Amino acid sequence: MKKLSDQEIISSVLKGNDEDFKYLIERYKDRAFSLLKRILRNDMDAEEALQDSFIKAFKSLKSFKGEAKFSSWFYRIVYNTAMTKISNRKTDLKIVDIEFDDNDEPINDLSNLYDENDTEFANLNSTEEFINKLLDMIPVKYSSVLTMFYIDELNIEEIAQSTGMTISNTKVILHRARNLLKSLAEKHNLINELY
Amino acid sequence: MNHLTKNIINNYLDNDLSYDDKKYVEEHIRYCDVCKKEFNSYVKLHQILKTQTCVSPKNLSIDAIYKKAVKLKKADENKDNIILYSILSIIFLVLSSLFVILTAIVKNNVPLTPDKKTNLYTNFEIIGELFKNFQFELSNNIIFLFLIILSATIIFLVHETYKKIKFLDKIKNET
Repeated sequence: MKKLSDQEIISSVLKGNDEDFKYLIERYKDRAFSLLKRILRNDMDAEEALQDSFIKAFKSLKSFKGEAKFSSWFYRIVYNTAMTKISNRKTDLKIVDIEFDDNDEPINDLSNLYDENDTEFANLNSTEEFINKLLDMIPVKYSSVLTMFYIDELNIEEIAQSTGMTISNTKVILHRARNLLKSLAEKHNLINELY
Repeated sequence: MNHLTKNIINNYLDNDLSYDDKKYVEEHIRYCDVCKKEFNSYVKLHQILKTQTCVSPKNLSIDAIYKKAVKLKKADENKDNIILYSILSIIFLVLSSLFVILTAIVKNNVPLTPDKKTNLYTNFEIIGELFKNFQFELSNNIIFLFLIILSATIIFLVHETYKKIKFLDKIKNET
């Protein structure tokens, strides 16, 4: 893998070396896929959305001005592609569950998020599985911000640019997501298992 | 003595506190067991989340994504080119046709703006007169034929462009 910056790769692609776009795919595919899987909750849809995101990025690379980081620009495409995918399919996941706005209210009633008789937790073996299960229980907007922050390693500013939220609201969502995840872990008596 | 709020703990984790506030948090948890327990829970959750790893797509290779991206970009560029060339050709053909018609009008001494009446009927009369003359003069017959060929070419061009665009869209959807 060449040790080139995103900007250097983009310049090379724009000069006509289309093949260099593969370096960007290599660099971002797993991270973007993790986010898409978290948002769409389905491998097939996530793979389709991932492919569409790279195609859109490749086609519109000329419009990338380099004012923001490529990662923010690309994650904006990824996020919008996921939104389109959700609005195109008729599932139980409503767009309202994931749309980021500045009027988000904290979730105090946890009873809607989990089933007390859920026995699936008994079959989970690793910490990663526990966390994944918990992340699947919280609203997508929370789990996707956590994914962007911890797995995709975007900072608050980049998450704000990708989702279209303000920086202060992004912080609020991140904090609420963390609080909710911790409360759920405690509620499920997983706190000891996890720690 | 107030306990630490969730917001302060979260800001601590995000390294979003001033030096003094950070010191205050660290001091506070040294003697407040309630906050220490809460703080440690957050820190552990934070650490666990940090160790989460990425998931790779199982059915998508870098080459597959790249090839499809290139193919679709080329299809889009072809579509743009076809539309551009078609528009340019049609503009050229229309201008040529206008030139031929104007030449015919001037050659047959038909006034462009009639002096007597400027209503629709008069204009039809002028065109009728023009076409009547075409039947008798060889040069005008050639012009008339030329006009027919031009019109047919424009129709053919529009039809072919539409077909090509449809075909490219079909390929795009199939891919």
